[in-house]
Amino acid sequence: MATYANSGGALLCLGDDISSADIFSNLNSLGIGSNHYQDTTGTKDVYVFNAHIIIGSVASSGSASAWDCSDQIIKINDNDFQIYGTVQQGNINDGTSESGGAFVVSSAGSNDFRLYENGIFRCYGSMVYANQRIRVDTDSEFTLVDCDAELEDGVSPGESNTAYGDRQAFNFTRTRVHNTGAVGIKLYTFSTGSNAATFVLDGVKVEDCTFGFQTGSGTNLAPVIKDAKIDSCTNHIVPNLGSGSDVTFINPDFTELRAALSASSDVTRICFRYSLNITDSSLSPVENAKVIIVDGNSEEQVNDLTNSLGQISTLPTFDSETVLFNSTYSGTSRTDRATSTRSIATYLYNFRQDTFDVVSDFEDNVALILDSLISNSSKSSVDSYSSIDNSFEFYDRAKSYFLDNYSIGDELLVSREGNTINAGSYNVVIDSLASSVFSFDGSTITILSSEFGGSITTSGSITFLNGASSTGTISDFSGVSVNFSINITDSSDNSNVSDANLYVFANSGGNLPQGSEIINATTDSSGNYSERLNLTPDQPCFIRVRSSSSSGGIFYKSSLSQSTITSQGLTLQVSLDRDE
Amino acid sequence: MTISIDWGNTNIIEIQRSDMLEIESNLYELNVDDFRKSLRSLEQSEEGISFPKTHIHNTEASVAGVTYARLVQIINPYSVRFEDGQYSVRLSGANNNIFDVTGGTLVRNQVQVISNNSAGLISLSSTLSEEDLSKIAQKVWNEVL
Repeated sequence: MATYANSGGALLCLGDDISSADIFSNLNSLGIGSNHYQDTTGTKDVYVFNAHIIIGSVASSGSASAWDCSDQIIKINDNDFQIYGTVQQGNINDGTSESGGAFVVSSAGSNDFRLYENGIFRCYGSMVYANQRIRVDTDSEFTLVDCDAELEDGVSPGESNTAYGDRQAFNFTRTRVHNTGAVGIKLYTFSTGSNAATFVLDGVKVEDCTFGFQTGSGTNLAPVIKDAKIDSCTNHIVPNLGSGSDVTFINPDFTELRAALSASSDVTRICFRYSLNITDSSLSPVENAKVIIVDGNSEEQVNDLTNSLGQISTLPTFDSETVLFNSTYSGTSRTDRATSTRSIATYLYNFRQDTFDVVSDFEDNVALILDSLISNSSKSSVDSYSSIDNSFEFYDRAKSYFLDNYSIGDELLVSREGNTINAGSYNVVIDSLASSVFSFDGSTITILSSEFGGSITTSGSITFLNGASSTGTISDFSGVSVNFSINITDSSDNSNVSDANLYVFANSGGNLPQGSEIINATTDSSGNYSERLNLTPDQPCFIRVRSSSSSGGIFYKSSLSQSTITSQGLTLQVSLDRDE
Repeated sequence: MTISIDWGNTNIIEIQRSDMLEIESNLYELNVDDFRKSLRSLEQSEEGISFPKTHIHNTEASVAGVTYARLVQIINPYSVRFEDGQYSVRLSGANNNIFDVTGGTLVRNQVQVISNNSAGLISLSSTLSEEDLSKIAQKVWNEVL
């Protein structure tokens, strides 16, 4: 049974069944204050108390002294309203607020409306007004759910770097805070670890306040504010003035922060929820795709492989929400990060790179398309090639290298069309003794091959080392290079003719003037000669072969034939008739 | 042999007297087979490879137990010139056209060139037209009246 007593001119209410009607009657009977008002004729009872009221005491705090003012309209006009116990208006029924009312406190100065140790103030579905700052002390709870609140100077666990206590709990759920002359919601804590004040801000709307939020001077609050609708406020935030307590907004209704009073160490993040799902064209997750996301300030936010769900687990995360940044602030200095670039590199699929602006929550679903140029679907098999002898192997190995070494901004080293590798502007070295099968130093691709069977084109250079050769067309900065290969035999016995002299010169109909020398060389001990020719196909030519020795060797008749050096080069065999 | 060719200019094949066998005083002999081998070597040299061949060579041929001589024929645009002097050169070892002044093969100077060509059977070619041949046939035909 609640008790009511005059305590130094205040009404001290104790017990778990404090009622508004009893407060009204006891104020009158005890002569505390005057002109109290009661109206119980309407849908909701109305009470106006012009007196100092104390709910609970140190000895009877929390739920021990409880005032249930549900479905009532309460206004307290006095210097002080003190809560040691519990003041509750309305309740939650099956997730929905009900039985709310109104609760108005008009006091003389800051902190006159005060929750002491273990004090609890809860309103569900109510209108709440306080004309002065509300002070919340140690282990006290201030909860507004589904409320419309105008708290002119907020609710605070401390002020001006002075803590009111520890472990205060603030809950603003589905609540509209509006039209305050100062700060809408103060996000202060002055303690650390388990002693810190805690805040629940869920579906909060802060409208038309001078300052939407203010962070205090605590060091570890780092509030994460989700879906805040505060752009109607004059300033979104009053930062914490250099104490290093960051503020993170997720999906706010603004992207340009308006901050009052700032220090450069105050960090404010504006970000939006982001999730990434990578699939193939049949929407099956693609695992081990390399994903790199770089924000608009060229800072890498993600560099990871997808998991079996085709997702990445290392996205920036705040309060269990994965996000990308729109911008960050140091004080009021903005760093624009909105234009993000997301790259996806895989072996089997086409490289994918997209740029988008982070200005709203974004579920990024990417369907990759198979790379039709891959000829060997096994990356491990490609990685174990002992040499690269055709364009198919070249492309596969280059794609594997690309994936293994990918960093943002990289592009595929080569492309392939048929049996022709296009190396862009990179130099290409074909080395029969290369120390590794495939390497790239930033400008030159080196492959291990004795005889490369494909064609290569690049605006850089192509170099053959240690006897390496190519049977295809080689096109580099110096022009088109095709392979010329000839074998000379003795028509009488088909034996190879070594040291035969070869003279190839231009016929009409090509790019070269008629008669221009193309080759003047000698066959090797096997009767062979090959050379890469820098000329423009198709080039008609004459091939003259002579072999005679005045020192006891075999004399052959001069041979003259004609052919055309095409883009595939020219390979021919010439038989010499003896001239005896 | 120190035969030289003025490749691409006069295209004259120059033969020094010292390259030939002196048979007797002021009589020398040029072995045409050796000569054409020298030409082959010059043709296939780095300098000569880019120029047309100097001659046509048909080797010896045996027919019914008889060995017919080889033939060496200097071809355009080449010509032959012996080192100038009052001496004679006898050509041996192959039928040839080296001595042919009219055809422009031999560049004439004081040297007397003696051909040893042997022609047991020769083929003639005619520049007469079919009409000419018909008229001749009409004149010589032993017609049965």
